[in-house]
Amino acid sequence: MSNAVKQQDTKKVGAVMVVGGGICGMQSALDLANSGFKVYLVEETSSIGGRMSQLDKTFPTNDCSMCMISPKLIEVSKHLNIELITNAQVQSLSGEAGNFKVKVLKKPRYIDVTKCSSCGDCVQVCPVVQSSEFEGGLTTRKAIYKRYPQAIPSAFAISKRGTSPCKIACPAHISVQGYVALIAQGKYKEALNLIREENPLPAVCGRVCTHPCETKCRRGQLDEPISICHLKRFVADEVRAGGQDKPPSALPSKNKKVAIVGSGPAGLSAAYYLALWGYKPTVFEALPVAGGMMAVGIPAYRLPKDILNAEIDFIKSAGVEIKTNTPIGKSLSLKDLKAQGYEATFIAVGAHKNNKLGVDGEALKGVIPGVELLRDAALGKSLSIGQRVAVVGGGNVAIDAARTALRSGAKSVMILYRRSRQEMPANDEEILDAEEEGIEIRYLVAPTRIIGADDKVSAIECVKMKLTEPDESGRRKPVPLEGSEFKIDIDSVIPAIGQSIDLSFLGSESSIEVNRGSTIKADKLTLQTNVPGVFAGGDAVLGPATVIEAIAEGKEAAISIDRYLSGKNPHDGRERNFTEAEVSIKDIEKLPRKQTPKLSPEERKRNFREVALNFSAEEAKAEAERCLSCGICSECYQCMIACQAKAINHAMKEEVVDLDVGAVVLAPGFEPFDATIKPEYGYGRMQNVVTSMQFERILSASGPYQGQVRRPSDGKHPVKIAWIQCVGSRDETCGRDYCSSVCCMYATKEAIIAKEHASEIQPTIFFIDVRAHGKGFERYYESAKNRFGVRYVKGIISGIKELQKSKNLVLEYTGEDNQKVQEEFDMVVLSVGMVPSASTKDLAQKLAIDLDRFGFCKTEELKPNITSREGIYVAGTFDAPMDIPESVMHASSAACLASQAIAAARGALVTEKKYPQETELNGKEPRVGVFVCRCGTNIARVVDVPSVAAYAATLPYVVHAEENLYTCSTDTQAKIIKVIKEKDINRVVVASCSPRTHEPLFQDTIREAGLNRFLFEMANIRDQCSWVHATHPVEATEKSRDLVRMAVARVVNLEPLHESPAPIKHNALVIGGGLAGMTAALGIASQGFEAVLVEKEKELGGNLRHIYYTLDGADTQALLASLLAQIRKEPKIKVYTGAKIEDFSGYVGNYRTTISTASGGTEDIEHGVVILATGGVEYKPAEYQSGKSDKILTQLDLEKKIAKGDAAAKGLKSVVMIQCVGSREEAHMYCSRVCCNQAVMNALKLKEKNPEVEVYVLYRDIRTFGMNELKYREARDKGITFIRFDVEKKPDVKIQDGKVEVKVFDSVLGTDILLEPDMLVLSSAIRPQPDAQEFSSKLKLPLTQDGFYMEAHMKLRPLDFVNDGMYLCGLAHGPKSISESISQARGAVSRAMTILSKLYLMVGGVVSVVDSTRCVACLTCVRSCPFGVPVINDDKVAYIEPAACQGCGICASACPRKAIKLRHYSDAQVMAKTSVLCST
Amino acid sequence: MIVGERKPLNEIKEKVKDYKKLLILGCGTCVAVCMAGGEKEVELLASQLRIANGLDKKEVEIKEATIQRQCDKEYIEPIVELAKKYDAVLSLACGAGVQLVADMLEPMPVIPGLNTRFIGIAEEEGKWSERCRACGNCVLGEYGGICPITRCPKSILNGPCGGSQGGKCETSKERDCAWALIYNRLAKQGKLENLYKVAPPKDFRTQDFPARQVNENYVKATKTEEKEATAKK
Amino acid sequence: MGEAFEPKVVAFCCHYCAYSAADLAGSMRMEYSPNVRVVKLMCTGKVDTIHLLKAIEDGADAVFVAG
Repeated sequence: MSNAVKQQDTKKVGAVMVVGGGICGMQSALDLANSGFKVYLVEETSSIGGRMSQLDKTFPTNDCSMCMISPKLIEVSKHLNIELITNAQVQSLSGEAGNFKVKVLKKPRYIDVTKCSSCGDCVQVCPVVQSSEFEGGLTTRKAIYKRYPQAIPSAFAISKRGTSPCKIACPAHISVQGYVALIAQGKYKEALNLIREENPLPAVCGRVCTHPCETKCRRGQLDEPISICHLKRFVADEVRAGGQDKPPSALPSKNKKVAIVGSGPAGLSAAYYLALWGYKPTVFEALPVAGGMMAVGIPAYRLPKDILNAEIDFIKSAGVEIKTNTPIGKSLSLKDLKAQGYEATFIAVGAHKNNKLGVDGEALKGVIPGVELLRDAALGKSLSIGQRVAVVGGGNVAIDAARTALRSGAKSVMILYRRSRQEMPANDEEILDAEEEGIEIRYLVAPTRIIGADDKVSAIECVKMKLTEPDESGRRKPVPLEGSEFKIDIDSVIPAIGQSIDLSFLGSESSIEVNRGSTIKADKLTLQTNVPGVFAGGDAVLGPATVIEAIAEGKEAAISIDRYLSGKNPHDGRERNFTEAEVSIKDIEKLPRKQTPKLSPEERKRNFREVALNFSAEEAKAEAERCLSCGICSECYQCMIACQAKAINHAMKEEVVDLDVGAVVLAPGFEPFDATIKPEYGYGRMQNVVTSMQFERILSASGPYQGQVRRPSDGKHPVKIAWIQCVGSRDETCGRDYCSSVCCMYATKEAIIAKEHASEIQPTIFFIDVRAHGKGFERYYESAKNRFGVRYVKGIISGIKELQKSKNLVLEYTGEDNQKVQEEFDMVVLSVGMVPSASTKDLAQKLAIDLDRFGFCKTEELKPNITSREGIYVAGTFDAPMDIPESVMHASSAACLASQAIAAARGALVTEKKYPQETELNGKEPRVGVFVCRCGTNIARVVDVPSVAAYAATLPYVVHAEENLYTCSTDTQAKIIKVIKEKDINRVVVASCSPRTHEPLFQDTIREAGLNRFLFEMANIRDQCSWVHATHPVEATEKSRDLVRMAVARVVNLEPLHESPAPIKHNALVIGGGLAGMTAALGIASQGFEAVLVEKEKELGGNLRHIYYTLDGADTQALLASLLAQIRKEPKIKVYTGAKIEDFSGYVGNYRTTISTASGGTEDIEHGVVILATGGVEYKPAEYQSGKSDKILTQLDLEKKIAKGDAAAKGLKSVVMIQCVGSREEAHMYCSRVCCNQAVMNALKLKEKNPEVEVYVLYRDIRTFGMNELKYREARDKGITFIRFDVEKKPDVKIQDGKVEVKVFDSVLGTDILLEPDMLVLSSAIRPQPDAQEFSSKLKLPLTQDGFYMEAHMKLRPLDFVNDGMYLCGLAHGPKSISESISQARGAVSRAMTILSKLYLMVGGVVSVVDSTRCVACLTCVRSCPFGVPVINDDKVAYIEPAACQGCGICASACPRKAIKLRHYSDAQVMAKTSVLCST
Repeated sequence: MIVGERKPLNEIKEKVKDYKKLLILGCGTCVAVCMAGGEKEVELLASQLRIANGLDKKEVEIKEATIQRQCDKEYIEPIVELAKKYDAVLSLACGAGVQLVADMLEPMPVIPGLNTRFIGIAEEEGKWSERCRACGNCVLGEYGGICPITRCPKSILNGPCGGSQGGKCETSKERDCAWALIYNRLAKQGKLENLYKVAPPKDFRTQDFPARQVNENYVKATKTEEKEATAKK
Repeated sequence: MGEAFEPKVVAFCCHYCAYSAADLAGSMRMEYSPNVRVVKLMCTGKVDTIHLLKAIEDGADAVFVAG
C-alpha cells in the first residue's frame, strides 16, 4: 500500500492475527487492514460470517442480517491485506508483544478454494447426509457442503471425522463406508466402481471375504455390524445382472509388457490395474483354469464358478492376457520372460502345498490332503472318498474340505480340531453352515496316528487336548492329556492344517532371496524382491493369507511396477496412516442387521449349489442405511468425478502455518447454551421445543422452511408460540449466573418477525426482567407490545409437558394473582444464553491468557479489551455477552489497541498490486470481447453455451467471442489477457456467474491487460439463469442471449473512470473533553498522529469528574488523573478548553473548523477527521418531590457523598431508590442503561459502610445486563430489597413534616407498602447535551428521536457517521458505562485511522458530477442527497465533492434539468441494456 | 416561482391526437424547478406518448427540446426553425410561456401540457405551496409577512373567521389557519396591536386584467427615444 | 399470436439486496419463470422513471424495481 503512511521499525511486526471470523473478527481485520497492517484472519470453521450469518433479522431495525453481513464478507475476502485461514486453530504462540511467533494448525478442507467455483455439482452426488449445524439440525446437509450459500471463502468443504474403521480394517482399504452409502442411494454402478478402485474381484469377495471390516464396524458395538460383505456381493451381482458392466477405459498404452506368475487374486489384481494404467500384463498360470485358490481352493457352493469366471472375464476385458497351463519353471523360466521383453515380473504363485500332519500313517491310501481334495473337486476330477471322513484342522480349508467331502459322497464327516471353538480360525458362518449340514466338529482333539489296513486308512488315533493358561501373548496352547488316546474308525483322513508355498519353480540358480518359511523375501511396502524388476506378493510372500490380502498386495505390486517402469521413487507416500474416526453410539436406535437368506441344509446337502442367497434391493438399502457414517465423508469420491474444476483433493493433509505477528486480536465468539442441560424444558425430547438459534433459521427465507413459520413435529403453522427467557442465563444451577444481555431483545425481535410472517401468530414471552438497555431498544420493546401485540408475562416456567397426540406443549407458571397457571402452546422457543465457544478454553491455554470462571476472557473494567497477556486483545462475546453493535465497537477498539502497539510498523507488511499502464481509448471504436462460461456443466447443462457464444460474435462491436469451461480459472484469465492484446479489445463482457462475487476478479484481469476496470460488464447466466431455470433449457438459452446482448450494449456505452489521489490532513479534531474525548485524543496520539481536543468547559473531564467508582469498585478519579496527566505531557495533543465550535465545513480528509477560544479569539483548524465525543448530561428530576427536600437526591449525588465519606451517608437507617426517573417514558422512551447498575453499586456501598441500613430499590425491570448481574445477585444476597412497580402505578412520594414518605404497590404482595426512608435516591436518566440540536445542524449530523447522535448504521457502523471521516463515541451516542465509553473511544480512533493512515485518498470513480451549464441551482439535489454532499457554489451552481459523494445517484435521478450524471450509471448506460431488450 | 402541474396523460393525448409530428418543448426555469415541465418531464412525457401511440398503433414522430425560458422571446428564437418542421408544439411551460411560444410560431398550434397553478414556494423536495395571488396591492406588511388573501381560503382581511380551531383551518385539518399564523407571528414581533386596526375592503381594482407592467428605467433607451419621438409627432 | 403470451419483464435491482436475493435463489436452486431480465444498479435510488418508461418503450411488458 504505497498510499499508507510508512513508518517502519524492524523490531515490531506490522501484522496482526485476528482469531475468529464472525462479525467482530471481520471488523477488526478490516479496520487493521485498512490502516496499514497485514492481517491473518484465523477461523475455526470452513467459512467466515460467524453467528450473525445464521440470524434472520436484527433488532431494533429489523434489517436482514445476511444482507448486512454479506458485503462485509466480500470485502474481507477481496482484501489484499487480509489472509483468510479457515478450518484453522491456533496451536501455539511464543515471543512477546510486538513480535509474536504463532503456529496455526490448518485442517484440510479437501477442496482447493482457488479452483472451486462453488457450483455445487459435488453436493448433488454426495451420498452422505448429515444434520446441518448451520440450520440448527432442523434439516440436513451433505458431507460436502458450504455452511450457507453466501459463505466466504466461496468454496465447498468436506467434513471428515477421520477414516472409518471399516476402511482401515480392510487390507485393501476400500472405501467401505463409501460404497455402503452409494448402495443406500441405489447408486449401484458407482458403488461397484468405487470397490473396483481397490478390488477388481468384488463378486468373489462379496462371497468369500473374511471381512475384517465387519469385525471393526462401529455399529457392532451398538447392535450388529453392517452386513458389508453381503452388500458387496449384492451390488456386484446386481450390476452384472444389468449387463453393460465394463472396466473404465485404460490410460494410453505405454507399450510395456509385464509378466505375472499366478492367476490368483494377487496376480489378477496386479494385472487388472496395470492394464488400466496402460501396461500389457500377461498372467502365466500353471493350472488349466485361472483364478488360483479362488478357482481350485474355494468350493463352488461358496463361490460358483460362473461368478468367478465372470470376474476373470471382466479383468481380461480390461486388457489382461491369461495363459493357463503355462507353468513357470523348467520350460519357461523367469529369465526367459525377461528375454521375451517382459520388463517386470510379479510373482504371485499362492500356497498350494498342503502341510503334513506329521503323524504315522500319512502315506496310507485314503489320506487326501485338503488342498488336493478341493482342487480335484473344483477341476471335476473323480474323488476317491470314503464313507466316513475325518478332516483335521480348524481353518476355512478344513471346513471347505469337510463340506466338499459331504457333497462328494461321504456319509459322515467330522472335523477334528485341537483347540476349542473360540480359537477356531474358520468363519463363524462357515462353521454354522457346516454344523447345519450335519458335520460333527470335535474340539480339543489331535490325531496321533493314522491306522491303516491293507495300505488303506481304517481308523485314526487321537489324543484329547487341553488348553494352557494364556501365555504372554494371550495365546492358550493346546497340550495333550496324557493317556487320553482314543480311536475313531474312518475311511478317509483329510489333513487341512495349513498350506505352504512351493518355490521349486524358481530353480536352483535363482538369485531371488527367500525366507526360512519358504516365502519370498520382498519389501513390505513395495513388494520389490532383491532382484530389480521382480516383485512378489500374495501368499508367496505372506504365507497362506486371505483373498482380500492378496488383492491388496496385487494392487500395491501394480503401483510398484508402474513406478519402477516409469522411473519413480518406489517408496514415496506409500505409508498409509489412518486416523480412526471416533463416533459416538450414544442415542442411536438399535436396528438388527438384515440377514441374507440361504439354502436350507436339505436343499444344499448333496450338491454344489451356492448356499448363500442375495439381498433384495430393499433389504440392501435398509441394511446400507444402518451405516453410522463414521467418517462423515465416506470417501466414495463421487465428488471428484462430478467436479469438473478438479478442485477436490481427498489427500489433503493438515498443515502447520507459521505466522509472525505483532499483536493478536481474539474474537472467537460464542456458542448458544446447550439447552439439553436444562432437561425440564424438554429440549431434544419434545420436537416442538426449539432454541432461539433454531427459530432464527425457521424465520429465515433460506432456512429449513423457506421462511414459513412451521413447527418441527408436523410442519404445521403454529399459532401460540411461547418464548422462555434466561435459559442458561441468570441461572446458578447450570453455572451460568450472568445475564446474556441479548436474549430479551432477540426474543422480542423473533416475536415481531414471526408476527410479520403470519399475523395469526400469538407470541408470548415469559421473562424475569425485560432488558432493553441498548440504543433504540426501549422503543422497539414498546412497539412489540403495542403495535405487534406481543404478550409479555413475568414469570419463570417451572416445567413443560408435551401432549402426546398434538405434540402441543403445556407450560406451567405462576400467574398474576399468584395462581399456578397452565397454558397450552403450539411451539416453545428457548431463549438460550451465550456461552464462550468450546474451543476457547484450549485457545486461552495455548496463548496463556486468563479466563473468568465462566470461560470468558478476563479483562479489567477500566481496561476493556486488554487480556492478561500483553499484545493480545479481546473483542466481542469472548469478553462478555454483548449484541452486534457492541461487538463491532469492541472489534474496532481491539483493533485500535493492537495497531497502537505496533504503530511503528504500520505499512511495513502491506502489499499493493501493480498494474500496467492503462491504454488510452483515444476515441477508438469499441472492440468488445465476450467470454461465455460453461461453469463446468453448471451453465452448459441448461444453457446452450456454444450457441450463446456464437450469437455473441454476431453482436455489434464484438470482435471476439468464445466459451470457456471455467472463465474464472487461472489459465482462462491468462487467455483473456492474451486475447485482449492480440485482438486489441478495449471492452470485455463475461457471461458467467454473479458480478457480486466475480466482478472484482475479472476487472483485475482486464487491468492486467491494460484496460480500465470500468470497461467491463457481466451477464449473470448462472445464478440468475441456468440455476433458476434448470427445467427450461430453451428459455434459459434465450435469456442468456438476451443478457449477453444487454451486457454488450452497456459495455460499449461505458467510459473509463479514473480515481485520483486527493491529499488529506493527517490529524483529528476531537470534540468534547470528557472520558471518551480524552481517550480518543490519546488514542490518535498513540497511533502517531496529532489531535486537537476541544472542550467547551473550562476544564477537561466531563462527567468523569463526578464519578468516583464503578460497579466493580474501580477508582475512576485515578483514571481521570491519569488521563489528564497523559494529555498534559503528550505533545501530539493540542487542547482548547472553554472553546466553542463556531463554524464547520469540508469533507473527509479536509475539514475546516473555526473555534472561538477561551481568550476570546477565533482559530481555524484544518483536520482530516472528526471524532465527536460531546457527551451527555444527568437529568435533573422534576418528579418525586425532587428539589423539595435535601433528603431527596440523585445517584450521582449519593455517589459523591459516599466517596467523600459524607457524614450524611453514614448514619442512614433506611434508603429508598427509585429507578427509571426520566427514562422509559413517553418523550424519553429510552433506557439510560447505567442506572440499575448505579443503584446496585450504591446500595452495595451503603451496605458495606453500614450493614444495618435497609435499602429498597423500586424498579420496573432490573437491567443489570452481562456480568453486572452478578452484582445484582450479590445485592439481593446481602439483603437489599427490590420491589417491582408498574409504570401505571408509580411510587407516590410525599414530604410530611420534613420526612419523606414513599408509597409503592408491591405486585408480589398485592398491596401498598409505605416506606419512610432517611434518604430517597432517584436514578435519573442520562440526557443528550442540551445544545445537541444546534450542534448537529452546524455539523450537519443527524440526531435520533431522543436527541442522541445518529450513527451511520445501528448495527455495523455504530461509530461512524454517514459522512466519511466523522466518528462518534461516548454518551453523545447514547447512555453507556465508563468501560463502554473507553472502548467506543478507542473504536472511533480505529475507524479514524482507516483515513489518517493513508497518504492520500483515492477519489472519483462512481460519483455524481454536475454539468454546470445546465444547472439552474434549483436545490433539488441539495435537498435530496441523503449525505448532504451537494452545495450551491460560488458560481451559483450545484457542486458535488467527489471525495464526499457516495455514488448512490439519487441526485442524478432527481435533477429536473438532467444536469447531474452518476458516472458509470448514466441514463444512456443504464438504458443501453433495455434498449436492446427486444432486438435479437 | 410559478408552480405548474402536468396535465393528465389522457387529456394531452386527446389534444395532440391529430398530429403526426410533435415537438414537446420544455421550459428550464420555474416549471423545471417544480418538476413539471423541465427537461426531465419532457423526456418522461415523450416516452409516455410513444408508449401510448405504440399501443394505439399510431405512428407519430416526437421530438424533445427544452429551452431556458419560454417567457422570453430570445430563448424561443433559436428553436423557431426546428419547431416549424413539426405539426404542433406541446409546451410544458406555464400559461405565459405557452402564449409567447404560440405568438412566435403563429399559426402553428401550441398545446399546453401543464396546468399553471400558482405563484409559490418549495416547502421541501416535491412539495410546493401557494404564497401570492399577484393581487397588485400587497398587504403583507400589515400581517407579519403572511398573506391572508392567498393563505386564507376566505381571503378575509379581518380574521380569523369562526372556523379556526387549534391553529388549523376549518376547510382542512392539514391546512394551517392563516390567521393563527398571522397572530403568532405578530405576537413574536410584538405588533399584535396591528390586529386592532380594521382593514377596509380591499381595492381589487388594482388587479387589472390583463395586467401589464413597464419599468421605464429598464426600457431600452432606443425605445424610449422612439417613444419620445412618436410623442413629439 | 398463435402461442401463449410470454411477457418480458425487466427487474431493476439494487446490488446489495434484491440482486443478492436473486443470486441466493440460484444458490438454493429455486425456480422461477425465465421471463425476467435483471438490470443491476448500485442502489435503487438511481432508478429514474424514465428508465422504467424506456424499458416499456423498448418492448418490456412489465418492469419492477426491487431494492
